[in-house]
Amino acid sequence: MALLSKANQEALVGPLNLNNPVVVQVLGICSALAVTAQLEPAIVMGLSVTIITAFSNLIISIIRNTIPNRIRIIVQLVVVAALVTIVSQVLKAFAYDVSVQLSVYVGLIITNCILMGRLEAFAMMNKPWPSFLDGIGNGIGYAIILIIVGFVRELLGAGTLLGFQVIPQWCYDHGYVNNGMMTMPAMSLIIVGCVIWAHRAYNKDLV
Amino acid sequence: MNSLRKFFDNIKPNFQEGGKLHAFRSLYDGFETFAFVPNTTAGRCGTHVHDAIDSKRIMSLVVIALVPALLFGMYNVGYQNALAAGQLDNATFWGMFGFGLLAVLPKIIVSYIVGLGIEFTVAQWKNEEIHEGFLVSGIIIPMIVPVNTPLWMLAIATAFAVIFAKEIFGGTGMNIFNVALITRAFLFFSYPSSMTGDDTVWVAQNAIWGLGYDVPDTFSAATPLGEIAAGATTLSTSFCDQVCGFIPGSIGETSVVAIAIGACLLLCTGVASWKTMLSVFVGGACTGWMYNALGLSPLDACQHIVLGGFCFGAVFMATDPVTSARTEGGKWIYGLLIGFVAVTVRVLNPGYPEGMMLAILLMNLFAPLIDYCFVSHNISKRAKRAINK
Amino acid sequence: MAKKFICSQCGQTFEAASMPDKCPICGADTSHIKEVKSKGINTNSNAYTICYAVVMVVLVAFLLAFVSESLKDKQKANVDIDKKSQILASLNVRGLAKSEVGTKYDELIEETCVLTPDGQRIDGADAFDVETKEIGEKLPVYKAKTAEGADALVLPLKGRGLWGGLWGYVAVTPDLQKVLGAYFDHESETAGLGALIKEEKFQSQFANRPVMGADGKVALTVVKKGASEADTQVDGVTGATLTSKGVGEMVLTGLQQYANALGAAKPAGCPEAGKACGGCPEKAAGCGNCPEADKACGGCPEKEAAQADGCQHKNPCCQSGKCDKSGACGKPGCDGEKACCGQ
Repeated sequence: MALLSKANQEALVGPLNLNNPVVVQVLGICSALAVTAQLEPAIVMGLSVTIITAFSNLIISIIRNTIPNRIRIIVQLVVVAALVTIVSQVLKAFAYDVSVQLSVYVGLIITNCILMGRLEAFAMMNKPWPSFLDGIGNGIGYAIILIIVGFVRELLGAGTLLGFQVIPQWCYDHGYVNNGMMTMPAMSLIIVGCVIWAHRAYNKDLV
Repeated sequence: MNSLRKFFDNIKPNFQEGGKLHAFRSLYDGFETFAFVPNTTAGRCGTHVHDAIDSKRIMSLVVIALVPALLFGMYNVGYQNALAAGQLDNATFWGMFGFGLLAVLPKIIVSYIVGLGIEFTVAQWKNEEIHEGFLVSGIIIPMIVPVNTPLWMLAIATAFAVIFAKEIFGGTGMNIFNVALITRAFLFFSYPSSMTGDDTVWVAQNAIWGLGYDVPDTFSAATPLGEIAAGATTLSTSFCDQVCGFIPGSIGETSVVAIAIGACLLLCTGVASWKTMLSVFVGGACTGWMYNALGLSPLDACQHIVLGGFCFGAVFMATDPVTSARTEGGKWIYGLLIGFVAVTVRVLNPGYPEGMMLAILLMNLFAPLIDYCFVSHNISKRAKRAINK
Repeated sequence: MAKKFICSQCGQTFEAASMPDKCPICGADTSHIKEVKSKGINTNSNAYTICYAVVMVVLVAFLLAFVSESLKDKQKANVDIDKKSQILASLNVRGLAKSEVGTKYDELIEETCVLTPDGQRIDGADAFDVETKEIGEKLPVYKAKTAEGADALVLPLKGRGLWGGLWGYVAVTPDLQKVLGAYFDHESETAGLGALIKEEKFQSQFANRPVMGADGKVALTVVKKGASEADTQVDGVTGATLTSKGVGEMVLTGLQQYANALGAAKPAGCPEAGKACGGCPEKAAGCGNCPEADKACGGCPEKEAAQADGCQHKNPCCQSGKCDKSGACGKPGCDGEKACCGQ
């Protein structure tokens, strides 16, 4: 089988648009609300989830035929938990500031529905390579939404992007004030709602 | 009146299918039905009970009821400005009123232009007739914000509220939350330094076109509730001033007397539900008395009702027929809970000195649930009666 | 021989002669059903399940232990750098790159010690190891130089804001008379309002303020903007009354604790107070025994005077002023010369 056959391409690209885990399946919303007040943690969170979905999918897919059926959920959890712990430790060691901002939400990737969903629905019944692609696709699909939300929230909430001042001082001198509500999780729910709105307005068949 | 009718009839062809101004038909439609009760009736989809008074007329009544509070609010803006500048002895009634008018009018205009603009656009886009709900919201919005709120903030907040609290739920009559309160909530959470605090937001500081006075920078005036939240135990204003409304606060909310005039009008014409209104006051008074007796709040029950936006909220916003409970029994529960939550937030959360906005929004959310409980209770009661017969 | 099948919808296994049309248990169609190929081991047996679980758990445990152990030092270094840069911020050293924090810290911080609230020095304790939540029971003190080269004591503080905890570091002159710099941080104050206490703009207001009021007690605090009446009253953040109040309270009570412990509560207090941490030249025990300090009965060179006025030790004998070191004064509790005079 070719590395990027039609089916594999679908596994990779589908979650980016028509099968997006956040805006179509509405999974993983909790962390999308919590870590998107700034762009940087949103990107790191998106990357972490991508890595974890990809490798947990891969590992589970490799050992899928050996997993005893009765404890398969526990096996999946252990694999995910191990990966999450490793990622969290690595972040603490090499990206301390971001890990402080992400705080418990890295650990809570374990409970991210996208992960368990992909393991149960895809990795348990597909070969390693498609599973890996599926994990990457879903992780990136999730990351895209996080980045969009993080972009809007940081720009309007703090006037910065990745920590750099974007809205010029001139505006502030003329009475512009950052929107405090953008830094609250409530607003990211509304932004995710707007993204879903735009997405469905564009893809009529999803409605 | 006849000439106005003629004018509408004359320009009507322009807006009909094929006319050169067809694109603005919803605008025409909106103004025509505002000026004259439409003579069309709802047909084909079932039985409708008609009244001579339609929703545009009801809205106009509410706007009229708001006028005393608005006029007093304008006067109070000028009064507070003169007081802060220490020029009260030199200021004339008309000078203060004129200053207030100039300070408040731009807010009313901005609120109407933004809100109606969005309503008209949506109506045009969805090919529907224009909804009239914003007539009331548009006048309430400037009345429940501090006088120093920048116009651009007001415009953003109004747009947010009309789009996210109203249009996405399906427009007038479908909204879950009171649109004016969502505007205020958006401002409150987005730009807290312009909406709360004890410093400079409540009193206009600069003269406008020669009217009013420049207030020295060091001046600050807190609302009575702000003073209490900051830990004061006595208020700097007299009870008489608080009732009449000569205190700092949002533009239209300060005067109990002016609001009472509006309340009378609403109750006499039957536009607002007396049950909702009364139960809000009862709930607030009982809760205020309770906290006062427990020693948690230095304000007595009476002051809790008089201060802040309690009266304004109870009369004009809790009674909003769209977002409040609709069952008769539900209105009592709805109102009592608003009063209770409003005073509780004030007393127990030092971060939010004013709880009326949050209380009404919270109960807006619960109104359908309250109604549901009452309706299903009634159904089961009647079902039992029928079975036992 | 009957083949074994598994349905991925209900997760059940069943036996059948050939591929069935639908799952006999939940009715899922064939796309959910897979044949279970037995490779010699029955993956559903109890023994296999238990072995599998044990092996997996042990493997993962070893893996995680290895990762955790190998990254531990690096993580600890990060936490330390964060704390160090906060301390440096109070010494007016801000915006350092991470790699410079350590060397700058070593350069500016000369010595540290931990005191109990009554001024006893805790032997061998390092101020840096005291966690924020312990402040109050233990009083960590850093002896340092500011960015400008002035001698300073950095005093960590903790308090409560509107929504959550506050903490901060205040650098003062060794005699506790003047603030040299301050740094505050918070857990969860309102963004755009209370959170502004973390900004340099707010913190820099503290520099060069006097700590003590006219009555010789710590008076430094935060008041509503515009209501400041004395140099010891710093302007709060506009619209964040309660957070500002929290900072004010934290500074006031926190510094008073330190002032008591360091024995410098009086304006013209112990000349050696500031050096207490490095050890008073005479009194190795440190701050608590500094001459002329409130609690200093025992160590006062002019013992008689100290006992008459300032002695805070509630030994009845001392307060009577009769103590002549020659015998019991007859008051209850006085049992001999040494005990009597507070030693």
